[in-house]
Amino acid sequence: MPNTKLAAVAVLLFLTGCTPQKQVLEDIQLVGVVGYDYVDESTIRATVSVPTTEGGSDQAVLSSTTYSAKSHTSKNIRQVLQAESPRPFASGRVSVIIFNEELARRGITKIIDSLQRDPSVGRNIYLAVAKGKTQEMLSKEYPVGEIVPAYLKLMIEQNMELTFPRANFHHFNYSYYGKGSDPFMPLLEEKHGHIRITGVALFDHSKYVDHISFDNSFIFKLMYQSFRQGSHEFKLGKNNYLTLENLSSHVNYDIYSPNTNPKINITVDVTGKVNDAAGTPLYQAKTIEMIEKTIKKQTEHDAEKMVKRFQQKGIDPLGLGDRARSRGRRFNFKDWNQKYPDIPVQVKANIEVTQGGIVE
Amino acid sequence: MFGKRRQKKQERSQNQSSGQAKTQLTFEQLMEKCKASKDFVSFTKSDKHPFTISYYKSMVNPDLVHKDLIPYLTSFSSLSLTELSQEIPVENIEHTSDVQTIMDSLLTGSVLVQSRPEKSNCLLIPAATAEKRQISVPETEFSVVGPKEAFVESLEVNINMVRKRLPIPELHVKEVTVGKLSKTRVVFLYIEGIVNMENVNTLKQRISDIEYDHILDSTYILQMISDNQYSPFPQLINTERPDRVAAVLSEGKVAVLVDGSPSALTGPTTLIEFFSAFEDYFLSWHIASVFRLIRLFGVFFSVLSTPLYVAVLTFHYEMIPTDLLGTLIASRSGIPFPPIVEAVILELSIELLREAGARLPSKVGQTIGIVGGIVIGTAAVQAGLTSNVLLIIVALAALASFTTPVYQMSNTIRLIRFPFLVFAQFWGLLGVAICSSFVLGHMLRLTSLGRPYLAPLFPLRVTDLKDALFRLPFNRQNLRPMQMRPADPARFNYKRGIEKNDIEE
Repeated sequence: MPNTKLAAVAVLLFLTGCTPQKQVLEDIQLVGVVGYDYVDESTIRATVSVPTTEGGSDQAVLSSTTYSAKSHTSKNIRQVLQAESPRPFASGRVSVIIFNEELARRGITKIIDSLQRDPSVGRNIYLAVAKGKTQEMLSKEYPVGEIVPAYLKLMIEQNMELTFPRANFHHFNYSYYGKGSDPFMPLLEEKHGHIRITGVALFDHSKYVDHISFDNSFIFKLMYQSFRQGSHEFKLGKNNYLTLENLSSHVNYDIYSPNTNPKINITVDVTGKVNDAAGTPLYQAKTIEMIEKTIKKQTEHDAEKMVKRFQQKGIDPLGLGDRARSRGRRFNFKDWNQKYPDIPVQVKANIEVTQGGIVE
Repeated sequence: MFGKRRQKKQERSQNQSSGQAKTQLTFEQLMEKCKASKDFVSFTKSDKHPFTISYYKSMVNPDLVHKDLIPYLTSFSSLSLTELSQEIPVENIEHTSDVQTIMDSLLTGSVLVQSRPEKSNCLLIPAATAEKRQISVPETEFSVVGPKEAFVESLEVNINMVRKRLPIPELHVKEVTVGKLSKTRVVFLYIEGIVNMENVNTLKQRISDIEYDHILDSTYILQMISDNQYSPFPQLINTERPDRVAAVLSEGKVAVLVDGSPSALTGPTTLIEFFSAFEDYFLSWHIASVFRLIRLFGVFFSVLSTPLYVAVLTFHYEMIPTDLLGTLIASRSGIPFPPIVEAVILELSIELLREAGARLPSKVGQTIGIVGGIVIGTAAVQAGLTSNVLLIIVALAALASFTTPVYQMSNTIRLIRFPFLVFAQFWGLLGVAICSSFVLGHMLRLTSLGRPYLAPLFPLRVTDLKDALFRLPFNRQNLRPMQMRPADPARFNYKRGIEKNDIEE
């Protein structure tokens, strides 16, 4: 018993310093968005967007401000930024990280490496590529009722619910460090006083090489994952268009002989509703059949074209290599990479239109 | 070193107790002692009527003495004491010459009758006055529906209230006197044939082992016979509802009533029982179950909300939901204190308000509540001393702590919040987890009259869960709680209980 008491006293006396470091909410700068810009071969510029409050405790107004600095390593930038900030920066609430297009083309290995080591950076944050300088994009104000960090985060988040394929830092890490797949991110652009997603930025490992347009991101998403929302426009005859709203789509990969003579069949089952088909009589079974056929044809055509393009560029955002690896043993990536551009990929789309709105 | 000192202490205490051992008084000495008090009366009516009457006039019922005693004494003045005792219309008259008995009886309100003033041979006629309060409505365990009787300070009335709910000869009432000075009568009640005698014996032994000079309330006993007297958790239930006592007696528990105390103790008990209000049995089982869960939620909320606020704001800014972040930063900006100081200030002011309200007469108490709640609260936020988010949290936590039906337990809940706050300040969520482990470990070791405190959750007693977190309907309550190890585990025949004997139309 005296020993326990002694131990308790000893703990109280000698371990007083063993407490974690305090980070009181209002005594730190919560970085919301980080943007990286290319300066020259060895220098990068980082811009952080930080939410700030003005006014007293009962009627405070939230706004955002930016700090920008350049240096050779991303961690040193933090030191430089610190020099002009009233409070220390905390990176635990970063929600979006944006790379400038030029920087992305030259490779983002260095930044990714330091980011994914940092335990305070979350994994459900979004990465994006921006056309133009991120410093300019972040320092502007946008009349959307949200401060810049929240705006960017919400904008990307809700698009990933709809037509844009799911891609957060966790997915990025998987396809970046995993073999047989390449990462992709949203491609952002500032236009008419707003920031918009203009497409899917495709990476060859760490380098941004190509992009597909936002219109086609639906087709990409159909092949990339099974999902339940989003809509896409299809052409129906001359000067006539219709919109298919996805109710549920399911994708299935059939990969034949992955080790020797691979052949891939991608089957996409889409159940959707046509909610904008100017003038087309949707109550006729024949019309529906016609619509289904048209959509099927266009989807298959666009999808196959898209995969062909990936193969030509030697990139694999769909993770075909990874999927093939999971189908059998003794998979050889060297072999696969060689064969990759010439692997026959066939897309089969099964479209079912179940609804045409409330007046059918 | 410690051993020696303890030995010495024991010797000393033995000396003390032997020094105070009862020295036999003679009858004359006793009379002398009694006459030293102003309220002791001793007189002989007249030479014609030679009986000497002595009593404490503050202890006896004057009506009884004047109307039923003195007329008989004067009219039967020629009889001997034995004959006299048969004539007087009062029961339990004692004819004795034992000085100790005489002393005890005199002090509890008996009238001493001697044939001659110097003779110690005498009659003791019980004539104690029973000044008691009217039976009133329960104050701390109020219920909206159901009986509204509460115990009063008189032991006889209290026993009466229990016995009229359980009119069976198996309801045993055993009495022990404790307290060197107060000589308090303590009775314990149980139903023979249902109760496990082990519980009765434990309780009996603990109560008769009590060494103290005055016992003025059942809460004294509660603390003295607790299994772990250093625990902040009450280990017996203190209730002022006779219906609750009757109900737990029929479950095989033991109840303790103390003369002069308006509350009974019942045990063995479990932690869960502290969160079941007796009103739960008056409401339909769905409603009662939901209310019990709400109360349990209230406990967790009350204990953890402020510590979590401190922990999250001090260490884990990552955890705050994005939509709440703006509000929180806004409410915290411009406040000069760190979260812990802010939280302690608010918690203390709530405790101050509560204490002030409890110590003041009820009319002033209400005013204090309004002044504290509205004026101080709003002013503190407007002055920028505390954030309004925390104000809401603290007020809700205080409210939640008052949902606990047993007063002792709700005090405990408010107390254990403070160590949680300290741990949250030093180690954040980890600290809250560590503190929870301490509390949980402590509760696991607690027992109530030797029965596990956390049952039926641990050790798991599946059959007892029917009346723990949920209260199942009465026809499912066919078994008495296993926790009590009752001598007769079955309350009623389950098959007959669920039978429907209605006439089919």
